[in-house]
Amino acid sequence: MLSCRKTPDAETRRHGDTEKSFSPRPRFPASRRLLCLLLTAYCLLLTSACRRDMQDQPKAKAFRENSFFRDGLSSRPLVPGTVPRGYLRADREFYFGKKSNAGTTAQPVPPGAATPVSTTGASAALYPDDVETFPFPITKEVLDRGQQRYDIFCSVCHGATGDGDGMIARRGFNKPLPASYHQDRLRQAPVGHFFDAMTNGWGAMPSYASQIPVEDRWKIIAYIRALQLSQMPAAQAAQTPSIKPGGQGVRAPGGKK
Amino acid sequence: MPQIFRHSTNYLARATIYGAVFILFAALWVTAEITRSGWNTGQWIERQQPIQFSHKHHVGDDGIDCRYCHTSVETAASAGIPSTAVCMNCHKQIWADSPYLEPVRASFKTGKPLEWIRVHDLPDFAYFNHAIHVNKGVGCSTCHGRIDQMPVVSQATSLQMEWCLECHRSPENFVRPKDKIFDMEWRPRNSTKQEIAEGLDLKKKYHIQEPAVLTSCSTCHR
Repeated sequence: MLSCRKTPDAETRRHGDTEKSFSPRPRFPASRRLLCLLLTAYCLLLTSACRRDMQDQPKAKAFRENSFFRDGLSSRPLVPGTVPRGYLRADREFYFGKKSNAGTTAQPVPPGAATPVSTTGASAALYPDDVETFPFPITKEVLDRGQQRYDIFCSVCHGATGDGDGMIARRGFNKPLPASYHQDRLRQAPVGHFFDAMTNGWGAMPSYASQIPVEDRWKIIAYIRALQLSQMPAAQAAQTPSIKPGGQGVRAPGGKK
Repeated sequence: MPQIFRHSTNYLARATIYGAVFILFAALWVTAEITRSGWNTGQWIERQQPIQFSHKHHVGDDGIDCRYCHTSVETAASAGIPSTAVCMNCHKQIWADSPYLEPVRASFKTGKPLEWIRVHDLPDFAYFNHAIHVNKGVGCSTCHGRIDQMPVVSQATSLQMEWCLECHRSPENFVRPKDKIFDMEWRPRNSTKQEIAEGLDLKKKYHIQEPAVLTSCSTCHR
């Protein structure tokens, strides 16, 4: 605007910062004034990105802090007693690995209680409440997924082959050492026992319920069964009821691995 | 009165006119460089965390999978910051008395979460979802760099829009096979002809949308 004038006005209009330095001094030629304006505009452009209102919007996002709530968290816990859609855990065998007719707490089955599945090994008596069958058919895809999840979550302690010699065990998590799957107690244990250990922890092992979804836990167990079978003498494998291919309820074909 | 300027000054004046063009482009170039620099984008700036947590040690030395801690990376927009309980899975026995881990134990006892400093901070007007990227062939190290070699994590990329578009325009240069997603050593991009051909195959297999869709404004600014 100013640059159009051949001679600058005596009464200079205020034009922000650039004008300030000029007003008390003798007039500069219009061209130089234009140059100064352009330079100022250019510098202002550089600072135009300094406001970050759009970058940092005051909205709740995952893991962001929030000054609105007293605990400072954006992610809110569920109101007690609510069940999110799809989270009704009515299927006791699937979600808890416990027999549907067993008590809510782990306690021995009363004598005479019906045992719905095939006979189990001696150690199964140690875990009377735990289910002995997988809740869904075990296929190659299930085993592959199980292997992948096993390598992520279990192998760190139990080792890639299930000997209990994972890297974390070697680094000092050894009071006691992580269990080897290739011991008789665990060879005989029902699948529900592994589910229980993952869900609620067992001994020094913490609960993995927050890290591994329910379905993946079962798939991992299928893979653990495959690992066990791979390290088992053939004669014993044939005798082990909970692994025997084609056993009632156990739909995991043992020889997949 | 003698002349103030000699005749040769004309050349100087002429050179200045051409020089102005040069100065203009130089100024533009400098602006662009400043905008792209780590000073502006935060690239390679190491953020000190409340705990000296080393990804190099946990991933590189111990071989712990990314998903052990970042559990929701395959299923949710956020990869997930592990809760203190996940730290304590191992550290209730390993380094259980170390003063370095005092904040972890304090957090575990009080239930007050550790306040990690965010390293990769996208602007809030950009939508980003980890799950879709991880499930369609974009590996961790493509964006996050060699995390397994970072004692202190820094942003390995500029995270600027031109960087996003580099892949959204031609995903075949970057996608990898499903079993290499969490492989830290996978090549950063498919550069040879054969690799790009593989990338095109994968792009088809993953049903990755055409660039017209991937670069549409509302794909990311929704």
